[in-house]
Amino acid sequence: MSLLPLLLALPALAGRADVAGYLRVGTRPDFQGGGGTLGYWNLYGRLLNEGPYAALEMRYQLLERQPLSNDPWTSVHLRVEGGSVSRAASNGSLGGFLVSQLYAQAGNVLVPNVTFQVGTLDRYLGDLSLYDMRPAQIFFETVGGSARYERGPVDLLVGFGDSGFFLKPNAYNTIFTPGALGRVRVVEGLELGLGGQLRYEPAVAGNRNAPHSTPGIDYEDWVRGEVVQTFFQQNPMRRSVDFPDPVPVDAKSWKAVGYLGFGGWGPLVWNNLFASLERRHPEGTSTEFYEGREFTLYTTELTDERDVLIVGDEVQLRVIPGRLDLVWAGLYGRHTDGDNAIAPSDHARTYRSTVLRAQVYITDTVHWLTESSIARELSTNGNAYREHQDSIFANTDGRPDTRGLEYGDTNRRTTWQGKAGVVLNPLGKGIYTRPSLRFLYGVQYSNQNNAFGNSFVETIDQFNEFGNVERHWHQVLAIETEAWF
Amino acid sequence: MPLAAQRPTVPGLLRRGLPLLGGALFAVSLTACAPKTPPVRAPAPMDVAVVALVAPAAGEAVLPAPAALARRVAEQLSARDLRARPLAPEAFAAELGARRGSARRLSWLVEQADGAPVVLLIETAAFPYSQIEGRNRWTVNATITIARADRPEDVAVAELTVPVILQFLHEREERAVEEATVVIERRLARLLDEFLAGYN
Repeated sequence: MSLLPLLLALPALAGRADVAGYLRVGTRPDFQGGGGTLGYWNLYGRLLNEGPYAALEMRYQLLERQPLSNDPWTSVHLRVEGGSVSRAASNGSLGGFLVSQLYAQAGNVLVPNVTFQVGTLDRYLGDLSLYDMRPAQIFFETVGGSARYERGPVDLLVGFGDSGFFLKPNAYNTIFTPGALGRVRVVEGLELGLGGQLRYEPAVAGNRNAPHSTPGIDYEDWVRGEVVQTFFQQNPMRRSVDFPDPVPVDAKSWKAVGYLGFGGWGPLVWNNLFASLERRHPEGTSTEFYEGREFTLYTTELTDERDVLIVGDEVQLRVIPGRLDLVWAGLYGRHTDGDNAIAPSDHARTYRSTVLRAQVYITDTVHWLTESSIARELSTNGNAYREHQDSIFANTDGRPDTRGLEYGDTNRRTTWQGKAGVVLNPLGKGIYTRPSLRFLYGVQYSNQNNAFGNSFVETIDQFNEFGNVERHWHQVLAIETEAWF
Repeated sequence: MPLAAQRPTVPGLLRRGLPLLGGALFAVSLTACAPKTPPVRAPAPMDVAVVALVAPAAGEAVLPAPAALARRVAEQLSARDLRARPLAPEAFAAELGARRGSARRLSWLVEQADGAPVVLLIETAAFPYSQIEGRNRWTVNATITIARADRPEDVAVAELTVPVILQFLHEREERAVEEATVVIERRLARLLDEFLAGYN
């Protein structure tokens, strides 16, 4: 036995570097002239609706964690991610990537079972995987410090920091952001989570990047880009310097999240229910040109009543163990804007969607995937979508209105998608086992004309030499891969 | 400008889809033809005392490895004319929790071999790495040790680090190890072949 200690290598306790990451890349030949996605966005399921993406996270363990131990440990993390991939999307420029996460963690320092994190703080309670959405997420835009206690059934994080560089990258101003996120296992197979964050951007007189409001702006004039023109039409004797000065105001926003998870019973693998209610942070400025001069409009009070409610659920079922798994998800979103009752926008809409994916295991590593989704989007401030190729000037009731704020000829978009094909999973069965090499066919029907990313010419004037096409069905082939590592 | 309405028909969709389906079935049929390397068999059927454990982040006792890993280990042994004789978790949980390091644990296992000519120790530990793109990335460290009970210095060791992706926050160390089973099994198979090739 005396040789054994020499023969059995000891693991390193410090100085270990490793990487994690994610990639999604492939080709989607589109004989109908689309840009490589089946539909507009992942409300119809992320599959075939997202483009290439890569993330690489490097970790250096300065002091490694040890099992069965409360010894201190520490590590540093750096993540780079983006969607610029040569030959698959854009030109592959590294300028399309960003350092999205940079932080240091230290555990079991001062307090056992507590991990301190300084740097970026992004944290979420789970994922609606079919949609690639994370409603129960806080501190996505925040850099600061946090402490996370995790032991047994309790997981509690508190933190605070600054969201100014993310929300206002070109006009930084401090946005103080405190928040907390908690998760508790009530009994085996049942979990609850709650959390939230505030964002407070104080008024600072004299700081051009602090929140301000230009008094007297009419919302309709602002949407049309006619605020300055209207002012000087109404005040013809005033000079440029007489345009109203901005007034400092506080800007506040917040987000509350909730989570209910249960499962582990019979065919139910797990069910995730997430909800979030967010008041979005007000925007800063916009610009208008009038008689050769640029005017800056301060818009805090025009953009401070934008709320977003998102409720999403995803359930995983093992229908025939080893043969058939199902994932079924649903999503409801409601965006309201208390300042805007006249113009269609992304801040004034509701949507609901459901996605069902079935995966049949032909062998351990060869699977058959089938997915279908149906979604309905409703613009609450009037028409926002074009149903027909000749509807560019259509408005309510089909009347042409070139001064109208609406766009297109309908306020509803209904989208159905179906996808199917072979999946190779070298690591075996599992609807979310990765890496996956997929060979898929996808088809979409939408009431919107050409409802997919494209570069079609939309004008219907007589000098359009390319013509217009009315197309509601869309189909793509896909050869792609997705992996976490 | 002419209006070119396009509405696929069912036969049209089938015409486009059938080649894809045919290609898919061809790819599936190829998998049945993939050659497999035959395992190295033991010179004679023999018992193997097996402990497969998960060392949790905190606490004083180790946990038994997930059933999926234990089953795969038994299958790999069986394919080589080796009979798995797993020790009961209550027999090793506290003992191996108190013994840190593979050498000390292997010494204890040899003492418990109870006539089995070979012992197999699989130690795993899992730690969270970070949340990335909606998933929870874990790292599973595993050490596989095979030794002759009568000559413990005749030992084969493999260490591996397996990246594991978990989907849910409630999934912890045992689930991470379960997810690493395929990789651990593959490494175990190779180590068994190396060990048996030199067994006499």
